[in-house]
Amino acid sequence: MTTGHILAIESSCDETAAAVLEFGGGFNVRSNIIASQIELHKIYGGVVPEIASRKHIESVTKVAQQALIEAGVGFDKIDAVAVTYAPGLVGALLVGVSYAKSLAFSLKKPLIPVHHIEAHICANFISSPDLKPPFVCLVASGGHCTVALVESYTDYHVMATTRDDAPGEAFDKIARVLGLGYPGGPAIQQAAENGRASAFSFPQVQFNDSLDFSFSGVKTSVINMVHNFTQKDNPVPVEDIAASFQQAVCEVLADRLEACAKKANVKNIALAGGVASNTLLRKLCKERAERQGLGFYCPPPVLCTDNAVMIAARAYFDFIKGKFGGLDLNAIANLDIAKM
Amino acid sequence: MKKLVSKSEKETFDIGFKIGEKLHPGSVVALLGDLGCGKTALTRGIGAYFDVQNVVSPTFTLVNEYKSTIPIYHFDAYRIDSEGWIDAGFDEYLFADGICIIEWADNLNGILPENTIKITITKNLDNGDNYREVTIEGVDF
Repeated sequence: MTTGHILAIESSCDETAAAVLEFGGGFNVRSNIIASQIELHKIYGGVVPEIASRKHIESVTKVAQQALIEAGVGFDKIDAVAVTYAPGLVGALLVGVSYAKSLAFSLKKPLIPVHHIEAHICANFISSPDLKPPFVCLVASGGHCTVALVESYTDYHVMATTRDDAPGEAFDKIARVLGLGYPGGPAIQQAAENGRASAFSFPQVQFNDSLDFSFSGVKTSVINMVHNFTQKDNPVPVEDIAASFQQAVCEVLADRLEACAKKANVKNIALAGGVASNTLLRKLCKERAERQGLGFYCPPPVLCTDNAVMIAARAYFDFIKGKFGGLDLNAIANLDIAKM
Repeated sequence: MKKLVSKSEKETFDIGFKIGEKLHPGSVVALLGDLGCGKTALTRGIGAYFDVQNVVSPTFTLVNEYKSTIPIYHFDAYRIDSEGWIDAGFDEYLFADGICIIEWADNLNGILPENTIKITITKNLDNGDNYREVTIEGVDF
């Protein structure tokens, strides 16, 4: 059995992350270091790209060093260097890509480029070793909304994607309109706890010809409602709006995941990405799975948020196939996984 | 200056499509308007004129690039100021071979070219939730 260690780097958005994953007889997470910039970006209500890139540069070597220290291994024990190369903020991605390329070159070890969305899905293989392809996974986060059919550990196909906003982005924008702060996901969830999900009915868009998502309609509908309240000098029922909005978004996500599972005729469904930490979404998806007699999988929140363990997990499957990247590797801001 | 009225997302899209006819390599379009007023919907219309069907929100990536007969660069400047714009190298897009469409361009005062086409979308809730006024400046329409 092949055993070894992968050092992975992730810098696609506002977290600089590094991890050491030991493989051979399953995965063993030796370290998982995340330097978050959330506090920094809170004052701006979102990620500021230039600040993000500069912070990544300041953090990347320290974070990688810390990952090795916590794992208790030196560079000599690293068998491959993995890195997120797409999609994300291009300036932020480039920091991780440049660092990983230099490291792989100086260590004379393979460089493994990883697609961020595929990696999110692979977080499930860390938390649930019993989960095996094929299955269908919803990846929902601040920048992404994709339902993918995972045909094998290295074959991922898009079944549905968003036509406008990502759900995390909708949460951020609505949190801004409701004055709840950034990041919007946890803020909306917290406000929703004291609100009635049935107070208002917001649109849930479904297309006739595809399973794609659209969240701009629900966003506009919430904004119009808030404006109507303020224009008439009425207090805005923030908690009820938050609860009803969250319900509308999570129901669409869960319904579509269920529909994709039926279409692909798989036995298991999974969640991934930052929005998968949302407790209502988890609950609704679990209910849908039970109703259909499907297995339901979801990583713990620490593996839902951007992290480098998931990058290492995805890289492992290319490592055993000998599929490596070259030193001409570039960062790509928009790159879909294969369309069905 | 031309003022148009849109009563639905579809009509906003159609206005975008018509604006697309007026654009050529080097065109810069500044899109102004509040959250949820239809900036991305209008951009989808422009994209459709150039046979680009997959225009999505650029909020996360800040710039989406679409390949067509003329490349289309779609920006979200909500979290960028003029200095950040230049630091990011986005300035180079303005004088390149494509069409630049910039949402929240009001954050970039003073650095956009003089011939920038300015499109302002405003709501008027007295006329209904979906009512929008689309003001187009800088191009004969």
